[in-house]
Amino acid sequence: MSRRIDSLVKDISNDPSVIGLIIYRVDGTPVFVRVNDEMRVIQHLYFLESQIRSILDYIFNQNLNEISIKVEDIKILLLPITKTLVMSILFLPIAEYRLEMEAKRVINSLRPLLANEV
Amino acid sequence: MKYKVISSSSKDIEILLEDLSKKLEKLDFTPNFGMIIITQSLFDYHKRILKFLEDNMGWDTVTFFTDGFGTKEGIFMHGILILLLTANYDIFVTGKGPLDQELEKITTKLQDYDVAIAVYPAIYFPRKTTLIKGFLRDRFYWFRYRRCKNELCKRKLLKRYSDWVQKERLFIPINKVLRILGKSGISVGSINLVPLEVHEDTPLILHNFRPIGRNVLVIGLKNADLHFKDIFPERGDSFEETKEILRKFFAFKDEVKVLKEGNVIGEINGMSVREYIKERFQLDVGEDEFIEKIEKGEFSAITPYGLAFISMMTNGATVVGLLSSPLNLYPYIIDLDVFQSEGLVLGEIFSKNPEEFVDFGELLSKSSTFKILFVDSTTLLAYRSETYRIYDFLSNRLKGDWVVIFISPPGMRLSQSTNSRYISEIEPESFYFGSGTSLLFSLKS
Repeated sequence: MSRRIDSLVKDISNDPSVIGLIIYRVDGTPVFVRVNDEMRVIQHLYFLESQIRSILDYIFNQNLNEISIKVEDIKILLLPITKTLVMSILFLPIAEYRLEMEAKRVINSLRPLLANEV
Repeated sequence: MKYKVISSSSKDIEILLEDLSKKLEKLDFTPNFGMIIITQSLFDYHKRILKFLEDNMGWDTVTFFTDGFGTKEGIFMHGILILLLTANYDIFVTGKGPLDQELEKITTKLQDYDVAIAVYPAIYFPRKTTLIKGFLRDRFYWFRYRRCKNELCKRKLLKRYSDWVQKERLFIPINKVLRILGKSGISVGSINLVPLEVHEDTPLILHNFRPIGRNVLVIGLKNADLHFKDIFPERGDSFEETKEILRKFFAFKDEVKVLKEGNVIGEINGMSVREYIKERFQLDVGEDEFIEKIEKGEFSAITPYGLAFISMMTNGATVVGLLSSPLNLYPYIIDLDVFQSEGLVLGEIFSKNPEEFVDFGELLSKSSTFKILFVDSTTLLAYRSETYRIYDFLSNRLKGDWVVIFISPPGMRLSQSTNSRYISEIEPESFYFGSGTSLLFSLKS
């Protein structure tokens, strides 16, 4: 399963502006992690982990399509994949409309794969 | 007509080319024409890509760069799309003579075709040396313009400057191209390229992998249909009515008096366009900063502010994008002589539904055709990930094959008059707005 997810998210995670990609379960547990810049991800992971449950609650209860948060020079984009999974992308905001569109396509391809999982 | 859509989107350039190579090897027919769409994100690798494609394609090709494309697999902001056809077509490219005459020559050859598509750089961003020459020319004319004691003198200078930018083909007025090619009596689509991200010597358009530079390339095609739409409310029956419609629909900023001639604006409310933009929007860019941004590929030719003009011929309207630049005189991609000198400065407002850009109604339900939709790429900046609703809409509505290509807002010249009351009809049967327009190009199988 992890390998199949990895091949689907490759289009985003290989983008030079992306420093990390994490798929979270609704309870805040990370179920898939792909890191391109370890130091930078670690710096922001503490913030993300401390906030993730309340952010996920907000996404699912308010039925939001996406949330983006800017922390220093990093942007974190959170997009629900299924009713229990959210993809978070940590990236440097360069031509971010491109990344947002690519993310949407990847979500569409992940959905059928993960709909009945976790 | 046979056709095949090939695309690849890997971030690794070698894997991307290998993937394309495998797909090209599997072709079950020999095409005679290929349209190659490369995303702007791959511009830095374009020499490598073009070499590969030239080595692997033995048929006629037209190549240009876009901001993104969509296929049945999704919308891609990075990758290469190749449309391969066995078509009844011809390709014409203007020569070095005066552009009007060169286009007239092509017009006489188009009559045997059903439709034509003109692909050309509406604004050409040249190399640093040519840019500097352009700035000097601007200063020279601006110096003389300011010393003019009356409007007639100013108009004469603007006309001369307009003739110069058009002779140099730094700006190719879209309505002029459509006006001339429209004499052929067939419908003509205008792919007037202005890149979202500007580099030197762009927009890059290639015919058989050779850059056409500052020329207009025209593809004449048989067994094809072309349709246009815009997303705006219908135009009014008078200048005042259209003005009121624009005022209600857009975020309204200012009602202004404009001095213009040819495709150049001299002043807005007595100020140069540069001064006006600086005062109203607090935006300004100097020559050095402008050149540096173009060299680094960081300059964006997209702006949310526009100056709307109402046509004296149709009461339709078009919008001139107000972009901060070091130029004092403001050349643009429209021949402004057909418009009133009263203008409205607007802030861009789009429709709530991005799918409106591709909703061509019943035309979409014909399954026997292969459809290419050219959609205004500013949707990508305005709607961002919501643009994906265009993909969802097309996937649900279209039965046959389709692709969507995100480019600068396209224009069109219809072969006959229409009952539609598009606000973007700026000359009889000629349409262009500056945002919110789409073309549907159908190839019959």
